[in-house]
Amino acid sequence: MKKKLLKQPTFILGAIITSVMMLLTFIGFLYTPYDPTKMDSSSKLAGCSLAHLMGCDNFGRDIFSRVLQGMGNTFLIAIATVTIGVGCGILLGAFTGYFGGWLDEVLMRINDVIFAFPSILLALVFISIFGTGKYNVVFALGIAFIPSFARIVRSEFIKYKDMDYVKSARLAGVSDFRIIFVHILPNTTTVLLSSIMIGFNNAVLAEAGMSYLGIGVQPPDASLGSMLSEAQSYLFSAPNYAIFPGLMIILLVLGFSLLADSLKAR
Amino acid sequence: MDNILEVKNLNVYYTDKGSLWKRKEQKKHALTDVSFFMKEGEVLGLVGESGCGKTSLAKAILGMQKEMEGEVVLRCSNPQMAFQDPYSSLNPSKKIGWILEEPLKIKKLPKEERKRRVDEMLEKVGLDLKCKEHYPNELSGGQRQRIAIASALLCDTKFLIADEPVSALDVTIQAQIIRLLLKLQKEMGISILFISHDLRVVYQMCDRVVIMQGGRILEQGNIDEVYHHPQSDYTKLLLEAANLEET
Amino acid sequence: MVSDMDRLLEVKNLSIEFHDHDIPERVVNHFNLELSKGEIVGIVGESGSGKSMTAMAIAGLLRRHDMEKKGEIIFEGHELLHASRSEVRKYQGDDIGMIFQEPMTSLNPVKRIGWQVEESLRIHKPKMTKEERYQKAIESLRNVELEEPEKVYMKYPHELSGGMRQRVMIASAMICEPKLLIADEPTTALDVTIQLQIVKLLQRLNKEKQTSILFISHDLSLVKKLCNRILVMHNGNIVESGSTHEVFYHPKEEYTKQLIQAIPKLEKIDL
Repeated sequence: MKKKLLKQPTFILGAIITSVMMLLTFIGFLYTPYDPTKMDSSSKLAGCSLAHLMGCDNFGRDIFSRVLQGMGNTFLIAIATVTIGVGCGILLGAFTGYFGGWLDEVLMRINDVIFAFPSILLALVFISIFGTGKYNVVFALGIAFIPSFARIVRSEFIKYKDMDYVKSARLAGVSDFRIIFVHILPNTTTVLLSSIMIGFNNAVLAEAGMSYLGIGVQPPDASLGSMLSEAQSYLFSAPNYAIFPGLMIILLVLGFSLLADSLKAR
Repeated sequence: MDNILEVKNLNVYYTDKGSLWKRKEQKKHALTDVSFFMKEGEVLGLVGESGCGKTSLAKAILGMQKEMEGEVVLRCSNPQMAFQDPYSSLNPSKKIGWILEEPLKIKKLPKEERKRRVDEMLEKVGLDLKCKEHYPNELSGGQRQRIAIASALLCDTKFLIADEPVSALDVTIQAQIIRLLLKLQKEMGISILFISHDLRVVYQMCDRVVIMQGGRILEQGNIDEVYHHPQSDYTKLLLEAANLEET
Repeated sequence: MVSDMDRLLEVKNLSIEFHDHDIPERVVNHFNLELSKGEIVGIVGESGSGKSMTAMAIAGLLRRHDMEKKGEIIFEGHELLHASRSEVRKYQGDDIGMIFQEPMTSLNPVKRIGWQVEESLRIHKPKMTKEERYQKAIESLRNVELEEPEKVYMKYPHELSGGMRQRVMIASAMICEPKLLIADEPTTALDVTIQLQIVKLLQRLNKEKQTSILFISHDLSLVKKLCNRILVMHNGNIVESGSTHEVFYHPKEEYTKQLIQAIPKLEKIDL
């Protein structure tokens, strides 16, 4: 199976893009060419040059440095969001799918309600209650992400729980807890993995959207979304300000989409 | 000798919830007045077609049936079951070694003891020890069925329900698995409730037979008796289908 | 052996090779078959013997690009294996009908039985009126011994039992009165008593309509009941062929003997 994966061009391309982006993000944590928050009035809206690879913004801050830092923020938020969504989603989906009954009905209807809200709207409501900030964004998006994962896990559990091997495990005296996490859960990884990739993409986009609306990462910290929102007033005078953060979002999403596709095709 | 299983006047119901429009809950019989017994160390054949209540009966014996009336006495603490479809009876994401060790892990046996027992059992069911390193999808249907039987017997059971264990297999493999089951039954002194719709296979395996249709027992008794002097039309039909008049 | 007049189907040197893995896999190897009108020939083999692949090739259902097909399939003088898709379609459903193992999945769950039975009339007899089609469908359903065909006509597949579905499948395969019916394990998923009924039905249709039947099965006792001639396949090769009586009572090859040995008999096993 592994061999086949390495032969797929989509997988190779996705892996290359994703690993380059991860590498850039990692570098951004350790080192940026300039201090991403240091303003320099002499280089306001400077174009691309050797000194400033992607030019400078309206405060004269180095865009490349800010993109590196922003990617770090975006990445962290996306990972935290998906972790919350997947973690709670697995628990919820596994228990409701395996046991069924009235608890399943109730939880799934709540799920439906959350699912019916657009995730950004839900996050907006959350933030209007608890205030803006990185961590609130993570919680808000995380909760909005639970239903989709819970559904996937639940349907897989419903499929597997009636299979004969689960019955024989039960006859052998295996506890429900162990059946859920040791016998059934590993079988859902293929499906789960590709939806995690897609969920990650959605998280990147949602974070960018929220920061763009000004309720995500707060200045002077950078995130790809907040940079885009600042750049929109200078679209014509300094297009590079908008292009580079936008390009990074596209590449991040593309890389993960390709990976998710090739995993699904397996 | 004691009876290992006694079923008396067993009635099992299921509720038909009706369609979305006609909400009318109805209790329907899955099993009606089923009574039979099984002696210790015996292979009892249970013959019937899909929908005759075999699954409900198996569930009732294993204590998984909720809505039931009547009496089921099973003098064996950990009954096991071998299933028809060798492709869904093994966890696809685990190696064979893990699958076989699992019931022993539940019993908290030490590692060496587990390994020894698994190796012993693999030898008994005629499989190579190397298969422990394989995943179920790398094995053939016959090999999988051997693993499934091994895993059921590793629980040290004295009572096994074999639900159509050979009907999904090729004929040559069928013969092997039947021989294996008979051999294990003799060696380990287990009682087997053998469910099948093939009267020929039942004849090879069993001493006594129970014939079921639509949730009721039509006839039961010594296998030669039932085969040579069938009482119900359905039994006659089954015998004709099994080609018996020619062999 | 068979005169040109009587010959319906001839398969010469059919080989099928898969190319979807690193190593090409040959699933059918130099398969030869002659089938005359009104004959029932059985292909027997275990899973993986290539019997279903052969049947699919004859029915013109192997249209994949990752396989290589060699040889000739001649149906009434027309080569079908390398013919174009449109050419083959002229025969499918009209002169060649096919029924499959799974009566659950071989019917479309959202269409009424009548619609499905009529489908090949719509394609091959476009001039028929709606009324004629209905009459023909009812007749075909009655012909496969379904009671109250008018009621069955209006039903959906999930309302029927497995045996009834398989009868519907046969009805829709037989509606254009094909010269050849390919039956790929048509009884495997059914209960034994229903199996017997289906075999008897096929026998009757063969006698009444002179339809040739290619019966693919792993169940030797059924094949013995139904077929005039038998081909035994193993690992893609024909191991043995001949009249049913000859193969059953005087098998030449070791593998055939094993297969016959494995048929469960009414006797206790000595360990």
